[in-house]
Amino acid sequence: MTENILEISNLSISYFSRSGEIPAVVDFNLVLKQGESIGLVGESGCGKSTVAMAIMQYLNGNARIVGGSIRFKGRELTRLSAKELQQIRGNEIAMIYQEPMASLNPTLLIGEQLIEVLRCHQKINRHEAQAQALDMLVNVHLPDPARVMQAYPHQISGGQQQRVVIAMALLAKPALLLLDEPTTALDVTVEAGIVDLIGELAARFNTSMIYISHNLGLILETCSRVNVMYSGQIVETGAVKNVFDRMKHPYTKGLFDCIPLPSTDKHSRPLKPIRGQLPLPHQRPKGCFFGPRCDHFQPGRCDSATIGISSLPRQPDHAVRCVRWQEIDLDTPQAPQQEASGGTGHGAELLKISDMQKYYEVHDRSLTALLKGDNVKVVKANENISFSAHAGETVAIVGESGCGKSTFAKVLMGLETASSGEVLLNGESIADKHVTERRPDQTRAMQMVFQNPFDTLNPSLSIGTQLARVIRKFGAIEGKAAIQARVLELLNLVKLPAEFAHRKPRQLSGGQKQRIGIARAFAGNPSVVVADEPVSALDVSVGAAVTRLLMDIQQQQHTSVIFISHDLSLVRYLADRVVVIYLGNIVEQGSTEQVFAPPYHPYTEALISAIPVADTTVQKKRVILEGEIPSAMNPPAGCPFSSRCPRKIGSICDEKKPELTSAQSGHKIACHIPLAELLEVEPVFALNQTVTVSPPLQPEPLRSATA
Amino acid sequence: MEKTSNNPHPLHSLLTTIGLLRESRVAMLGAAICLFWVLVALFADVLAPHDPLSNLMPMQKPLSENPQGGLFWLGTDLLGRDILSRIIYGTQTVLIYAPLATLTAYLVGIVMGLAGGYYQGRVDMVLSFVANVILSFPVLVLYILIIATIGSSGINIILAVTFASAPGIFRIVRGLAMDLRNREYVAAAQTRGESALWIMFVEILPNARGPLIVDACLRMGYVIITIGVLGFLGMGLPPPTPDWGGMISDARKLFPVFPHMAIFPCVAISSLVLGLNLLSDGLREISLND
Repeated sequence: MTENILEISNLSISYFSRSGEIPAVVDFNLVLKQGESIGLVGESGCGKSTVAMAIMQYLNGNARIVGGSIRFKGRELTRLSAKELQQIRGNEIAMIYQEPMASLNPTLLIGEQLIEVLRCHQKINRHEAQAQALDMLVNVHLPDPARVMQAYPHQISGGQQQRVVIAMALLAKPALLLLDEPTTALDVTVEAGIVDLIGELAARFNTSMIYISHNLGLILETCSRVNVMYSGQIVETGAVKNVFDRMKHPYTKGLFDCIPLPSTDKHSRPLKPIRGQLPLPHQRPKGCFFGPRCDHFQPGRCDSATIGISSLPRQPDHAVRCVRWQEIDLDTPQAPQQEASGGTGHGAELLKISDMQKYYEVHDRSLTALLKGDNVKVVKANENISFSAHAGETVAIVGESGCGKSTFAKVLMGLETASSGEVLLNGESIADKHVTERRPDQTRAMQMVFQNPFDTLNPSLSIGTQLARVIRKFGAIEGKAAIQARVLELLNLVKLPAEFAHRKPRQLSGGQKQRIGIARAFAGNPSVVVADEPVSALDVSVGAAVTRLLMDIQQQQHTSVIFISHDLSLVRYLADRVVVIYLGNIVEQGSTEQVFAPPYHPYTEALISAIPVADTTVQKKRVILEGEIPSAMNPPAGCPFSSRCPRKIGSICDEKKPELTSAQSGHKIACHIPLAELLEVEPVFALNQTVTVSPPLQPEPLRSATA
Repeated sequence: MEKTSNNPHPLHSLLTTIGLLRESRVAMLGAAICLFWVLVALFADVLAPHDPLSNLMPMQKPLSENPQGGLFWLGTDLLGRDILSRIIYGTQTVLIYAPLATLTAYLVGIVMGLAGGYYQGRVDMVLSFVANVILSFPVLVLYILIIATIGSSGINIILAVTFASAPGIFRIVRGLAMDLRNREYVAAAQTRGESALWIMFVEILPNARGPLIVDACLRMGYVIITIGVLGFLGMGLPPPTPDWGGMISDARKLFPVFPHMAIFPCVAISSLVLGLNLLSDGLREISLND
């Protein structure tokens, strides 16, 4: 009845380099039916993208298919000529990449690029092509499609660009759509819209999809079947629901243990990172590739022979590549390492920020601006920031890109000074003090962990030298031997071996570099650490380990952490209090339980609903935001969120800026909607009671609902 | 992945740098040519068959015999000095002044470039303006102006070359510094209260070294040509110092009759510059491999 669009059997792909053949993908099998969507999930370097490129027959020069076949609609793709492939690519198989700006030609009008696709693959005239292109832009829900046709790619936002890319991919009505991390470069609320769109369009055009992602939550939202890949192999495959609810492979289990789920919190289910690292392709162990990192490893069995993939009895669809899967019980949680749920009592107030503002002046030197006399524009990066942080407490600052999070961090660290308002560190004002004017003990008291692991360490200096410099700079310890001892102590603190002191940053993996970044921040025993998206650039299993480490050190040293992030699931998991920022304004703040439960600010509600959740037992309410975040140079006159708010109540929102009003003790919301009305909003997450193996200690917002 | 010893010795890191050269044949060839000339300069006393300054027999063709014994391998010049010996001793001149002049040009260019790229704003505006003014002069006119004003001597050649090349180096360093100052390790240094000098010279400069080393090799080639040109124009080192450019200048009028007097110094200049260019190309290739 339903034909197979794509059949991949025993596919093996290798890269050939100076050091010989490096197998990137081994023994890959996949069957994709008409209209079906399959997810490929795994960490970076596991071979996901290589598979996609092989399907497109678009592998790198040094990569070769060394075995197996890829059959698309019965035709063997590996044996097609360049001319035949040209007919298939873009026409029958289309691909969507991660970076939308890089997929569009910046020098051509968008309309031109869309028409080009049609004219290339179909014999139609310009006029018809234009009509079809416009039609497709309507399908991807772009506002004002006629204007978009006449725009260059840089004139529209990232989310709109990705919609154009999707429109372009669908123009030729392909039978197969490959999506390689299509939303990774986008903000969460924008991502939610794109994911929705992809699902809607696939259903309408009956397109088959292969969805590549590292995010299990997105796979659950978009796909019906999933392939979990590890180090070039599929380790588990099956229907999404089966794999997510009754996973059989220890790696799949490990992946789930690395991500915070909304049904749990840091006390009931601490993140459990997978130890070790993904092996390099030429250093794969014998037998099971996951062996060295697996808790269920059994010498003699797991490391003897190559392991095949075997189906579960009664479920031929669900298969797993593990010799011990029948013996391992992954369902019952291993003795939960209940650390005495510390962090209950927070210490003294360390940091107090009140009415902090940061404005930038932008000089417009164009002639027209000079003539009009408005050559100075003001960017209101931070409008009214007020909150405080106590010792041992984690305060999360949440918002999308462009909301002023990074500016705020810069003011805290003294790289910029506040335009007005007060920042008190241990009771002393530092708002107008540049870092060079602060006392050494003040700089030492506040340190930062940066976002990009590949940028955070000076590539020219060894790890030891860099840590020693920080220690010396803060002057706490004198003498070469004492400093050296402290360096080793710090390395030990972040669980890295002592010989790393002699290494250069390029010899370290991303996670290890981020650990050094943490060690550097804690070198002077700071009282406040600002962490700016510290794990967003890392793979989930590595990120979980780094998060865990940061929390452990924080608890040990009773440090206050300001955690800046856009990842609400992570924030929910580790923060004590949350501050939600939109366009430089605090729209909601309170304890984590308060912020994640009604009453919500409408923006918080949208943010929470945008979290992709990798839990089949959770029912999620969808709130999709229209439009884009406005420019901080020209914010809405009234409520900053009024231009996108789905719950706007009328002209008051456009005219008057709402004040932060207290909802409960410590919980403040800035919204014109009466509190009583906000209280009636149903929670974003609800547990699907029928399947639940109810987790212990249910947190606040997960009231069982009759969904 | 390369194996690294736990205690990297300075000598060890030098050896690995040389080991890297072997990745590129072009770099190896360039390095070999440069090394050849360096050895010639070092052992000039041993290698030169005659005294470069004594007038022996004027206007001899190559391979003609010296009555006092030995051969004039490359002939003699107008005043009867042995051309081979003068080229050999001329190597010393070139290999002393060219690297020195490049070095001083780099010192000035790096300081200006780091300041402009790191501080930006007004500092950068002033520095860029000065650099652009200098760059807008034809180089040759600039050299003639400078040397005519301050007179010709070794030090003054270095000064002139520094003045003319520093703006170009300024631009490169400034561009690199503007990029590198936005790295997070620079922010980390700022947040721990490091001084601007520390940030410029420890956090930024070492990480700009790759492109700068490549450029330095190339630029040294230009400087060698420049010194040749200055010598040719009679503004080089005062005679009778053996100087390749000066030799070509002396031989110019007799070129139709005795081409060898000019050709051999020309070959010397070209081969050394070629060697440096090849080395620079090769280094770029290797740095891309990394």
